[in-house]
Amino acid sequence: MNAANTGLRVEILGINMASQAEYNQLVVDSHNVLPWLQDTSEQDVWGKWRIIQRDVVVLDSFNRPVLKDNLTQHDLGQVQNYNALKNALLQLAVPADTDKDGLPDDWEYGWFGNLAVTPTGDEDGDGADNLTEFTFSSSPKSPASLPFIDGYLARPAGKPALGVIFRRFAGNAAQFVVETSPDLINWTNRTSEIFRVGTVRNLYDGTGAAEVRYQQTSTAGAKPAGFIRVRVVSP
Amino acid sequence: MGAGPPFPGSKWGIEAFDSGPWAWHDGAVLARWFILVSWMAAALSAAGQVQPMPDFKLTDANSNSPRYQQTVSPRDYRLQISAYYFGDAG
Repeated sequence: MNAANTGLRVEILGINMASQAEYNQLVVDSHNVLPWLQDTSEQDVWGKWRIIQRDVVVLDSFNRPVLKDNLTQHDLGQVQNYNALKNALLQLAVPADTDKDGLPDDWEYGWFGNLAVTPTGDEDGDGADNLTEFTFSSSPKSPASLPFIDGYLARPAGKPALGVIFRRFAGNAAQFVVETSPDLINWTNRTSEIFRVGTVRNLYDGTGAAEVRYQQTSTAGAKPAGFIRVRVVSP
Repeated sequence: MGAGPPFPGSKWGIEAFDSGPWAWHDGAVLARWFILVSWMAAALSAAGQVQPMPDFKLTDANSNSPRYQQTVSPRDYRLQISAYYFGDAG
């Protein structure tokens, strides 16, 4: 789903029937990296959610149900069912922005309960405006919560190379460009100079935040001075 | 999984959505989903404010998942879209 450039990150999980815990190993293999949760009689998710086997329930940004279907009735082996579910998920992942201010509606409602806030506003007075707080997944209501960006020094192939780690909103509601420069004048994001280390790591903290790391290549790091900057551009 | 993988081509992973040879061509099915979503939205609106689904805390049993043995809750996925497949491992 990430490759489909979704605005909001789409996470898929499975939930096993409480009585079937002993068979979980049948589901686990190296090709399946998605969470497979084990229901219990105490939690009784199947009961509380009124589930029948092979139901799919999709929740929105506030965990409200927006779609429910059953894959026995609509087998994904049928291409039209497969495409229908895919397109429904992609549709749901497009963040609404009714007032077209660059801040997704759900983010504004989630933090402020309305759409009256502006991208340039700074309600908590911490120097980071709302658009910055959104893109870097910090709290717009706490001056103690600022965008998290930190640097580090790595030594790939024995040569020093700068790295940067930062927190960001998961998905592609905002686009990030990470660049390096030897002189603060000429900037580049060429992969021969700077590259992403690993994947964008979801923090699963309920704020939509993820963490990502970029690092200069050993070639770039071998230069006498180096700088890294993170730019946020419109999606 | 006894009931079979919900997302073909990748066990029950969704990455196949982006790599498969599929092309959207069935307007009737799209209409079905649209009606379903619209119906749910209307029904929920008619009943008043749309309420979040009941919360839970369950343990991830997939040793290949980045969340293996962690407690997982829908709250973890706020401000994202989350899809739950209810299967039967046996």
